[in-house]
Amino acid sequence: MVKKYFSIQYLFILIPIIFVLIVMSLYLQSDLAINKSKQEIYNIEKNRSSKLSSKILKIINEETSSDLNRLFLNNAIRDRVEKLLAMYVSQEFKYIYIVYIDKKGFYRYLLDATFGADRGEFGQKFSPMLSELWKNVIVSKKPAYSSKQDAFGLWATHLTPIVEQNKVKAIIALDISTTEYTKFSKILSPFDSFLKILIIVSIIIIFTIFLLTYLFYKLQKQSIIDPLTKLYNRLYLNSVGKHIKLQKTAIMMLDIDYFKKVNDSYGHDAGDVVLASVAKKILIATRLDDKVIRYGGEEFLILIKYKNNKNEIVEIAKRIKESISKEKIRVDKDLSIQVTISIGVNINTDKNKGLSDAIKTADNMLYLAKNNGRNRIEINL
Amino acid sequence: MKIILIVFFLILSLHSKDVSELKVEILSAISHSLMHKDKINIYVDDPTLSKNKNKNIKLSFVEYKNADIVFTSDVNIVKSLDNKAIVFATTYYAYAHLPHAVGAFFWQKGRPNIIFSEKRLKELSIKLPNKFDKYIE
Repeated sequence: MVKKYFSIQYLFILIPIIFVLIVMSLYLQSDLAINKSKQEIYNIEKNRSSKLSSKILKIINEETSSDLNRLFLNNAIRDRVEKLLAMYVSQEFKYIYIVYIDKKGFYRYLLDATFGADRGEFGQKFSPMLSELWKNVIVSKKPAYSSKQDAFGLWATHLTPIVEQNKVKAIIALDISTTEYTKFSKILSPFDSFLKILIIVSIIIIFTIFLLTYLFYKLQKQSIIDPLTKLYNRLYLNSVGKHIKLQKTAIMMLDIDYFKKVNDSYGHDAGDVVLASVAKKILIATRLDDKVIRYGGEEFLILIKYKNNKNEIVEIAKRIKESISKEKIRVDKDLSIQVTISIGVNINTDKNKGLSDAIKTADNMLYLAKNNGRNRIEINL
Repeated sequence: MKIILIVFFLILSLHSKDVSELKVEILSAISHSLMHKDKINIYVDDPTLSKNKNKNIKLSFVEYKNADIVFTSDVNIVKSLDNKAIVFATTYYAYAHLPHAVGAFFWQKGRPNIIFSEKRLKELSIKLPNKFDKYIE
């Protein structure tokens, strides 16, 4: 019964743990999917801006006959290119502009296809936010792309160098803004929140189950332990009784001799000290596998497991008897009490019909020990 | 949906607050680079900036007539100043066309732009701290 109960307990704990693991794996997978989609959007934007930059470069080459100086010197060409580039300005490609580097190393607008207040004038100084990115383009003479994600969307800058005579003469800059990722995130957001809440709730449930199980076992342990002697009580014997294999268990009944006199002469407090002390001595004299039970007032029962050698049972009984009788029990600094113990041992439990019968036999042996003068061991050989 | 909208507007308001705080900080840096005064009276043609509550900013937002530095692109205001205050333009166009503008501070393409005119700084005998060198043209 106890074993069955244990397995149900494990199941109760195991199910929520598996549930949490599944939810966590779902959450991680959704997170991976979001990151993957972010990467996809990043790649799409990068490809789009790269293609647009190539188109712009082509337009500039066509309009200037591959001589960028024309853009510097001829207002009409600059206006025409600006108008052509303005056709590509959109919600996505927010700003399209070309910047050159002056003799002092300052960036300045060559042309700007942007409308309104954001438009930079020809020759106007330009302060890049990602100055390292710009420097890299000049040094490497290769395009560069940088993006960042915030609550409003994906912001990116694509830079393409215009190289003439192996020197970067100007840089085509595209400032990109897309809300695709934000839209995607918003769609997934409720699912993501749901999973997060589910994980938190599951963890709370697991914690509660652990706590309840711990409290249950604590209470259960308290209910089967005698508070005075810290030994098992009869409730424990009742719960394990059905599982005891009598063929391999001897039963020992012990009773403190003349305990009533102790109580009557020195009071119940002294009696309690004697009981606790005897219990402790019994525990020391027995083995870890032996179950010591406070059976009645001053009566103890020991379940002793053995393999083949029944002599070891007798040895244990002798050890207990000697440990109790060899020295007085100190109640307080003025009072020490000498007690002895009578023991009845049933080592032929396999001949009994059941536990009650086996206990009865042990009890009869105890009765015999009492009748034969106490402070002795009687065994049903 | 309602919650998403509220959060969105909250983020938006926080964002706008950040930008205006940043603008005031830049105004303060520019003002203190131009004048060696503990508390400088400035006028800005953007009234939202004068609501700044940052105690670390040692600026007083006043009417342009009482200002030490005027941040404006309004030609009429500049004319009425009669050279009594330092003029700082708030658009590149105004900077290019206002002969008195020492520099310009404006927001373009979502980023701050600061320009100081070397020529006009010399005319007014203003020496900027070295950290502003990259803004001088």
